[in-house]
Amino acid sequence: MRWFRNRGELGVAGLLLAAGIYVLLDTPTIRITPGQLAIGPRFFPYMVGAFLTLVAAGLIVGVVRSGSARPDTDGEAPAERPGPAAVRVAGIVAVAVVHALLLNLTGYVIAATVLFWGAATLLGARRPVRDGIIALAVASATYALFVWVLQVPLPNGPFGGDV
Amino acid sequence: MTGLEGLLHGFTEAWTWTNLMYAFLGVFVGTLVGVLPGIGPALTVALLLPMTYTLDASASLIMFAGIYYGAMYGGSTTSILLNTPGESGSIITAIDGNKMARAGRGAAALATAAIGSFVAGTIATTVLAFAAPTVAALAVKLGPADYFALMILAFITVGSLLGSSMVRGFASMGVGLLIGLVGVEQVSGQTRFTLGLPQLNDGIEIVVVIVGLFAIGEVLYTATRKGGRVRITPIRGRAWMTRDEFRRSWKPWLRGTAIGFPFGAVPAGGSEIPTFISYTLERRLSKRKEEFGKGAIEGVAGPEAANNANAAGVLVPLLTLGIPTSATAAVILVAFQQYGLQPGPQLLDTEPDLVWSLIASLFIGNLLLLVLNLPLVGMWVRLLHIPQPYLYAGILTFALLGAYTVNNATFDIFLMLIVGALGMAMRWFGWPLAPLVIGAILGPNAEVYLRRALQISTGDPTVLVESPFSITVYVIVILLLGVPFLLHRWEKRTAAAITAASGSPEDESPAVAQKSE
Repeated sequence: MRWFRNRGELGVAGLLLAAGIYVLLDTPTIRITPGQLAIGPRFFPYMVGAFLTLVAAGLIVGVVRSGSARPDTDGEAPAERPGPAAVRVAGIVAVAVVHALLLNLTGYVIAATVLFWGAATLLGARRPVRDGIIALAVASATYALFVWVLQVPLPNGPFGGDV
Repeated sequence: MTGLEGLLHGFTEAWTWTNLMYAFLGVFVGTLVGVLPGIGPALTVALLLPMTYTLDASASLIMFAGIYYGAMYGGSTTSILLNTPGESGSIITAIDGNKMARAGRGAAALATAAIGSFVAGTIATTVLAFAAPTVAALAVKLGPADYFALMILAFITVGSLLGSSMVRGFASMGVGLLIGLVGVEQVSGQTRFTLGLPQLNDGIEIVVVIVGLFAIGEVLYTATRKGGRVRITPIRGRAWMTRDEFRRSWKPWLRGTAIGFPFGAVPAGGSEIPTFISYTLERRLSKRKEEFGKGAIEGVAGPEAANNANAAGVLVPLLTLGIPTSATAAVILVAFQQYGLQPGPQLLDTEPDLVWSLIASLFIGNLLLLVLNLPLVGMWVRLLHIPQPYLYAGILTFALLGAYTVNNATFDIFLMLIVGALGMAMRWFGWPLAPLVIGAILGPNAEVYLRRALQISTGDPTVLVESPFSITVYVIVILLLGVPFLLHRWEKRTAAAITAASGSPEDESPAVAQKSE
């Protein structure tokens, strides 16, 4: 078990290898325009695919032999954030997805308030009401800065622009 | 225009209220983000890229350059007071700077860092002004094969000199190259690797890549940590130093400048290496070797000068060749492209007003930074008290906003989350981030130059090694592939020596937060 814990990087290296093989296999499907003088649109992808595959192989060998380079600096720090790490990360990604889905439904200010509040809570903020007020303030200020000062359009949602 | 004429012209251009305001805004925001742990200059510039939609070119470029310089300043403050470098160029500063702060000499450490940065920035910007026209004049003569060689050089150096191991640097670069392949290619217009998604036809937006990698990656990585309070070493009053400290500082400032600038100016990235070399040199030259690792002022003065001179040096290949050698330079290149401007040898001829006012504003920005940093250091320190959950929730909010505004589409938000997850994994396993960015930006250019060169020669590959210039570059590439081994060994030996000298190993190694440099 410990051997594997020190070698989680194999997962990333495996993905890299898969990406390299995908590039090599998909490159022949790129269309070539007739009358190509020298190298066409397939040459460079072949190079990149080969490079990725080689580097991934090198990385896999390196990790299997000597483990990850990851320094464990967390130590015995007191836990200030809720739940296990994987749950916090998944939670933040989920909040971000909700944010993206809310954007065109409720407009920017509400979507960003939800995002800020959710992320802050997952990262260890402890006072829901105060956090909510700060989230609303940040979202409103961002909206004002981008829409009114920089004139970058953002979705208004059903309540119009004045939240 | 020669360097001097250009500079004078640039000062008259930059000396308008609007441009001064943007220079001020740039260094202000730059210092702010440099001080905040977790946000580096590349990320800040990337987050502010939406401003290019409404601001004019010179205003936003002046501001972005100010952010770049400002973040270098601000990073040293965090290094000294927190022992957590705000960006990678300040890692070395943390060693002796934080020791000085704990010994009650924090004010002197901050002062030697600020004045050293000013001295280095001013000298290096002057050299930049005089070197740029010369380099551009030479660069005009380069053909596509020469450019291809230069890009190979940039790939090799950025990939091999950064991060914990060479293979991880190249892995990071490979991912960047793959990202660069996605979309319709520029030479014959074929669609590649879009997975059938029409949103990917224009390729993956580089802003989405950079912000996702640095911002989302940092937020997710932070979420994996347990958290905990940081210890801020308190500092009273203004930053200043005694006469003796000044006497010990001025030579390291100048030596640091001389080391930092060339490392930025050759297309070989990284601000860590020159700071590291400067530190080693100062230690070797010092009569008080035993003080190093315990709070030697030379160990702050030299590396801080080196990293600022390095920032100016990076602008030479960026402005004259269009080749970025740091993540921040890569984002500034994207900002140029937003205005339809292509940095390269012609830029000085086609846009002299823009380039020279940009360079002149760097001098102004440098002066503003000195003013901002010496008396106001207490104000910056207060920023460190922002609670982490709010800080990172704010970064996340701004980052996703940046993704959305690129195309006004939620698709880019999802794309950014994927890149962010990758960024988290890369941080977790100690992969350097800059090679990915450089690979994604330079990859497509390298392909275009390669294909152009081979089209001219109708497929004969010897065209790639025909000119003396490209041959020289490839020789350097081969030599460089050997250097990292030596540098890593040297680094380990020096680190061991420092640890041995100061006695308390846990205390010694500053938490190396990986930031955009």
